[in-house]
Amino acid sequence: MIKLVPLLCFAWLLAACNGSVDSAGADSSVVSAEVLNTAQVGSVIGKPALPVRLLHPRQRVDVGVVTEVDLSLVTDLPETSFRVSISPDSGLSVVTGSLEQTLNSADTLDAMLMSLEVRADYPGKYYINLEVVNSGGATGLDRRALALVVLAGPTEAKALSAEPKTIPEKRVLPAQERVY
Amino acid sequence: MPGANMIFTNLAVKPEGAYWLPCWLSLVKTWLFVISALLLSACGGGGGGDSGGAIISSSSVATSVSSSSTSSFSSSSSNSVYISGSVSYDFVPVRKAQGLDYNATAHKPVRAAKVNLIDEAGAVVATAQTDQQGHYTLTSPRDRQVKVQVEAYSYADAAQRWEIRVEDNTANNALYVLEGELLNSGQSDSMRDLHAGSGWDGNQYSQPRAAAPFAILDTAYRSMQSLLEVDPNLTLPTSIFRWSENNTVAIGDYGDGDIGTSFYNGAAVYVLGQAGVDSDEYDAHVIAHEWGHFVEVQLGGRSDSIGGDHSITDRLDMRVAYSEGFANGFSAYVLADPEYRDTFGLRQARSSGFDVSLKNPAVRGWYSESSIQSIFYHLAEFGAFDAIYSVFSDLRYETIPAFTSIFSFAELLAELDPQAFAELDRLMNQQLIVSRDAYGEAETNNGSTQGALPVYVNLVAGGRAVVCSSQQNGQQNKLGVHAFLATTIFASGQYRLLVENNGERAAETDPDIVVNGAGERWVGLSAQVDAESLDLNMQAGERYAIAVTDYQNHADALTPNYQPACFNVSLTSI
Repeated sequence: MIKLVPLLCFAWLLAACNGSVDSAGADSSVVSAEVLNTAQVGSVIGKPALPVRLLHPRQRVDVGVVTEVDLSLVTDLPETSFRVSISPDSGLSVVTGSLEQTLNSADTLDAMLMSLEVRADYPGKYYINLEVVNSGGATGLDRRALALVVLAGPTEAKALSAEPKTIPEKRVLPAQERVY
Repeated sequence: MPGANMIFTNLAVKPEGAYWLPCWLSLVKTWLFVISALLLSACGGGGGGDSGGAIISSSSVATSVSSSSTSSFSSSSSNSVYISGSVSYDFVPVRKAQGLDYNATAHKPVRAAKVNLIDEAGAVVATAQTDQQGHYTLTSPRDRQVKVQVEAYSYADAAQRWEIRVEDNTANNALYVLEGELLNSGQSDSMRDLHAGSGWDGNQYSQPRAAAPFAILDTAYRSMQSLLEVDPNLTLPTSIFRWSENNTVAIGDYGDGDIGTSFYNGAAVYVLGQAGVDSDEYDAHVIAHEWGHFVEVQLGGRSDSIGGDHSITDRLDMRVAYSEGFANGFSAYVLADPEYRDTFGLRQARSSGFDVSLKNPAVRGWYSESSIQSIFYHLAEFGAFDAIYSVFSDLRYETIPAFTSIFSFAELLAELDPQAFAELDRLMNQQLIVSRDAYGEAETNNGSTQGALPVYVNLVAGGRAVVCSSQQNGQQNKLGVHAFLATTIFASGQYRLLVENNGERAAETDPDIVVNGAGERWVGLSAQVDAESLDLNMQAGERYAIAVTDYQNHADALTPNYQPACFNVSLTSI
């Protein structure tokens, strides 16, 4: 087992250099991540952005279980091509899937399907960051950063809060000070 | 237009340059300042007035604060000494067509910020406010361990009253403060200069990102100047910004930092801070854009925007196009820079953006964010920012039944400032917008969208109208998704507004309704299939605006045989 770990790491690195991971040990009956509700936080009046978003931005997986997370994107831009660079947090092992993908929006508003098989060895919250670039030559804002939240383990099913409680405290930052 | 050119001229000379003086010059200037102030004080001055400010005694405890943006102090006594100095932060500029340029980092003053002197017990022993150059002066007890603390809080509390705060939403919305060391105040006057560093070491943020809250504070302060110039009695509620280095692009709990994007939600402007992914503290246009939404809501008393994703190439719901276009135009004007930039990615080395001033964008019309931003930017640049301000601050802006759009803005501006309206008229023509009526009467630009015209369908009490919700331009907040109706009531009483699927679309629908009028708003957002109704107490002589939409997604919206969801809408007395 001790010898196997560096070997697997080496294999992963090799695969990562090619932009994809496809472990020989990948299970053909991979379970799907549980999709979590984000309706509580709703739509916001946000900054201008490339109109693309994750279909399911929060998902839950079991610890130690290879799980397929859904990275499907939704866009209002028809017949457009997107380059997607995927960067999972360390602690979230990618078992199968490419970290560089190209997606094409069709002539419908269906989601652009994309997934990754991952495994979390410890409970916690992980991010899978996506940098999406519109390679279809759109004018204006041509890129957007997105992130999928992956909750691993028996996390509390807390309700999302759009307004943190305000406590009259101060958050101290150190100054560079010159005294004379 | 009186004063029109003056506004623009003033903007062009706003102090924005680096101020970090050579040490000796800074010292000379400070001593000249102190000596002048002592002379004024000795002559009986020093209290009140815009240039003098209030006197703070050495025993004051966080209550006596100058009402101007200049530091203030009393004569030092045998028991006290002056501690003065300057406060600055690292400003990292955006290099056009690239990202943040750390090599061009400049020191900028922290302006109009509250400065506290804290003793070793943690008590505030004196308070002051930085001036335009970031200078402050505090009176301290002699020979006492004290530290200088600068709040990420700027304010004015004289004829013009406003406050800006920058908080950490991942720490119970605690106010950011910059603190120096606890040091002995000594037996004679001394200087303490405080600087908030970016934390960037040439490759990454390896030190605390102390400059970030102060960069946000300063962009908001800079944006505020345009309002201060047009209203000598400006009074605004507190502008709250919430930033954290843990604010990510993930969607979730704001207290965890999962804010999704930089946005305004009516309570605060949340700002991204995730290094290497998307952080906005130095993206001045993003900060000013979101603060523009604050201005729209707080001055105008309303925003009818339904939010959601938007970009300059979209055909948008008119309420969204108006709100976002205003915020873009506002940011470009107050920053005197029409090139909107937003930085991203590894080392914040990439950016994306657009030219707000573009007069012939790809999508032109009342539904185009690009058109609206161009209109507002050029109208302000023409010298009519005061006229824009007058529309937002007019009481009718808040109460007009029509949903907020470029049409409602135009109708009100025509009444308030005919000269500015003439320019608006020209700019609207340039953007292929025909109607000048709050309800878009006689508009002819349909954005190639089925059912987009008329902008408002007339609904007669006791009668029926048909409207359609089309997703051919996208979902949720795009042009055609919401259909608008208007009705005038001739007899006060209870009415039932009923919206029913007329059967043309085979799939299930989930109609939703919003009604504005007589100073009230009603919403019907139930999940009922194919129908929605509202019982309304309506007043004779009042006009009401109605928005109807299908909440269901239409996955077939771009197919050749797409059938939008169409609804029979009726208003009957009950």
